[in-house]
Amino acid sequence: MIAEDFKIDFENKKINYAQKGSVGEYTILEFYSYLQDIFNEAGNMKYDIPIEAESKTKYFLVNGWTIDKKVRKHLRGGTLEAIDRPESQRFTVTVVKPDRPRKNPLNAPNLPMIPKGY
Amino acid sequence: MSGGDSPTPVENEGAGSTTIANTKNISVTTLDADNNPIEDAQVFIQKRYEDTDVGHPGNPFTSSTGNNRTDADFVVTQTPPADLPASGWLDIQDISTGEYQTYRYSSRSGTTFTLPTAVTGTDDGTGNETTINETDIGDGTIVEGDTIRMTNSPFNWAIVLSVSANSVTTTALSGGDSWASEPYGVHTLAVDYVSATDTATVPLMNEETNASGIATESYNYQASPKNVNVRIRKSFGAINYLPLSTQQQITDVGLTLIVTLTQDVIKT
Repeated sequence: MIAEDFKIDFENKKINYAQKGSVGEYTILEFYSYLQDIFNEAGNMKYDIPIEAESKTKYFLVNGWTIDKKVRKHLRGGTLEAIDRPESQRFTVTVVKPDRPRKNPLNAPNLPMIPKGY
Repeated sequence: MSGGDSPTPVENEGAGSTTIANTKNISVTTLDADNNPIEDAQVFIQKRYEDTDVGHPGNPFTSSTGNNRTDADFVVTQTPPADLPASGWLDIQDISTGEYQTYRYSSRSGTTFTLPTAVTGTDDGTGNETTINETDIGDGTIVEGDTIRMTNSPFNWAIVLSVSANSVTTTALSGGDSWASEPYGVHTLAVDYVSATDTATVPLMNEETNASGIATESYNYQASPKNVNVRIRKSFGAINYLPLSTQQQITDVGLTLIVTLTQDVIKT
């Protein structure tokens, strides 16, 4: 459950992965939607929003928010960039793992074995 | 976004003195791209961080002595500015944990913010760590944003996220506890606050728009215009909108703001 997997540190503007070990993976779209829900709550209106979307696969961390490395490992299906900050603090999480892993992305036929020596 | 209205100051005549109640109106109207009103958008207005007034995030109140769990009011150390709402929201930070509890106050006098009449009840046994189930719990006395506390040991607490007729959804109950069969209380302090350490702020507005897309609040205008941050968000229900944030100024004619929200076509 996404609400249990990610812990939001509002004071330090950081989102951490809360589970031990590798549990769930989420699309960045799911991550974005979850955060928009949270920051819509009356008690959270005092906080700057952490994320904006340019498309369904391209997102930006904004207002100084950041995520820990474990969060990055549990996201897929797009890119998440942090560019609204000094250059030394910028990063791009290119989590371009496809939304659904493709076993045979080229849909290529099985190729004949190539003899050794060629 | 536009303009302001110009209500006439009201004279209240008392025993031997006359007080000028310089009440203005803050009004925010939210519309969609077709100029239809947006209901249930959350509107939040707070003084700017650099404002020299006390009681906002840049210069919060500090807790006075004796603000303890079960209390029906919260007392601050500093004298609140006259322009804070007569009733509204208190946002208190427990510095030791870094966590915030939000309470509504129904009145204020001097340094004391009085909470509404306390509400108590007990989960019917089917609740969990984020849900309280009880017949008629949603009778209107609990709203989103209220702090709700477990009234017996270990006195855990949570924030109300949504209310329906027979159920309340909360943030995860502190301590990883469950609401099942537990008694709860609303409109009383959830924890013991530390004097001179724990802090509190009061927004000028934190409410949802009505069916006409309007959120309003009275504002006791003082001598000079007040710069404020306005945030409007609606990210639930059938249609979601992109958050909007704008800097505005409350002047001697109040503040009337009309905004058009852009639909969020990405959020699921």
